[in-house]
Amino acid sequence: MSRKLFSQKIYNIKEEVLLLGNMVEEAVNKSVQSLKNRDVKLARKIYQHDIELNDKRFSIENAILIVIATQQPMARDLRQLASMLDIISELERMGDYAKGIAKVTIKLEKIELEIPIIQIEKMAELAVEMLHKALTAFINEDVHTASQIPFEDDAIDQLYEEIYRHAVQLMMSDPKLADYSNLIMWVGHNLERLADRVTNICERAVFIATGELLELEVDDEDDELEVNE
Amino acid sequence: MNIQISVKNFNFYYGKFQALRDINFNIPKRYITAIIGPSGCGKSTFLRSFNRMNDLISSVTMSGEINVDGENILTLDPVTLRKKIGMVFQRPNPFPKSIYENVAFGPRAHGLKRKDHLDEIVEKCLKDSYLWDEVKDNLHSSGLSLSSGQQQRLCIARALAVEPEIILMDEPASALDPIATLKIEELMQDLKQKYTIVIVTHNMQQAARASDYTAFFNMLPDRAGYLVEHAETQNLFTNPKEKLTEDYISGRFG
Repeated sequence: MSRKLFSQKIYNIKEEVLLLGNMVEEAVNKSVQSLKNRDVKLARKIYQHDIELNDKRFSIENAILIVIATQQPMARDLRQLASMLDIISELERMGDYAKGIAKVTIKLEKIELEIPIIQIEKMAELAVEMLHKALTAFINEDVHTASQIPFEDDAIDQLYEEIYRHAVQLMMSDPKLADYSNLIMWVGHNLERLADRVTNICERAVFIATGELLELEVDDEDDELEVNE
Repeated sequence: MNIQISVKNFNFYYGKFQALRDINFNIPKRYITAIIGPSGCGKSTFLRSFNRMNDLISSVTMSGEINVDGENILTLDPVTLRKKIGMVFQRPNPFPKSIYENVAFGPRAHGLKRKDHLDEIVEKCLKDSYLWDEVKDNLHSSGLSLSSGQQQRLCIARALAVEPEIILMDEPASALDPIATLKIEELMQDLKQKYTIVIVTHNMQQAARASDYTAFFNMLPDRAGYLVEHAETQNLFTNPKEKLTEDYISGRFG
């Protein structure tokens, strides 16, 4: 039995989730661009963009609740809908990270500071790529790819480490720069957390396909040292 | 939104017993409106009022208006009315005739005689009711030889044959298995492109799945049925305005 209308509704929601994913990718790319070019105007646009992103998340959530309430989803359909509730909340938080980077651009507006932009750009590029792959794996219910993506996190952690050291060096060279250096750390931290959240999306992709809730998080000693979460 | 049926201050009595009290609401054109509520709340009585099926019961009196396209049907000739409003019942009730004759029955009764025209109507209606592929080679077998799900779709085809504008469905799937039920529900989605559908169902999940609007009826202390809430189905089942609706749809009473 096809349940044409029901399948169509789920399909539409999946499309919206992908769209939300695209919005997040764009927000991250633009936030890093704003930092690179010290473009405060662009940074402010990201704030506006984040409002749209949050609205989109709520409208998807509402659509999912309506389908659950009216269509009695079971098995894979139910796992998909429940997972999408989780995924959109992850995406929304990722949007907040992009907004956080835009905020740093604004705070550093008139500050002379050497920003490790090459590492930041690379980190953002990798994180966005991971996100993109994770959403593709989610749509295709590709368990194999979804389980592999979290391992790509290592390169990101490495870059975060470099950014961290750069910021510490800045602080040591001139303690007056401490606050601003801290902001640089925040940029790295946001991108690192963003990549971690991609892992949660991968876990959902596996759950939809197999019904198993697995922790795909790669053990990372550094995670335990985090004080900001 | 186009209103097809507008109900105003409608009251219905079986003798001295008031079965429906002060019903007011609008049914939009070419949408599916579901009526739900506990047993005895008058939902079937209400549905049957739309095509004057209750006229056969001698003690019945009604007041108020049921306007279909602006015309109060309580004062209209029932035969004309029933051409405009078709009905599908709880138990499939094909005539003890062939599949072909079941569908051709209405148009014939309205004076159509040309065979090629009747053939055309039979084929179209059986296609519109998703039955054609299953019966096209056996059009002259008895309608009663079909499975109950097929029989119900035959009854829908029979209702379509007189080109109604509105189709009333009184628990159309309660005698069917889940797959046949889903088939009827999918069929309804296609039918609403051309027809206004009003469905009474005990099955809340069916109302949630298949309708665009839902009306929730309940009983007053004197057992008269009344309309508690009428809203878009997606709103009624996620965020009803009335506590009573919430309790009913979440299975806390009824």
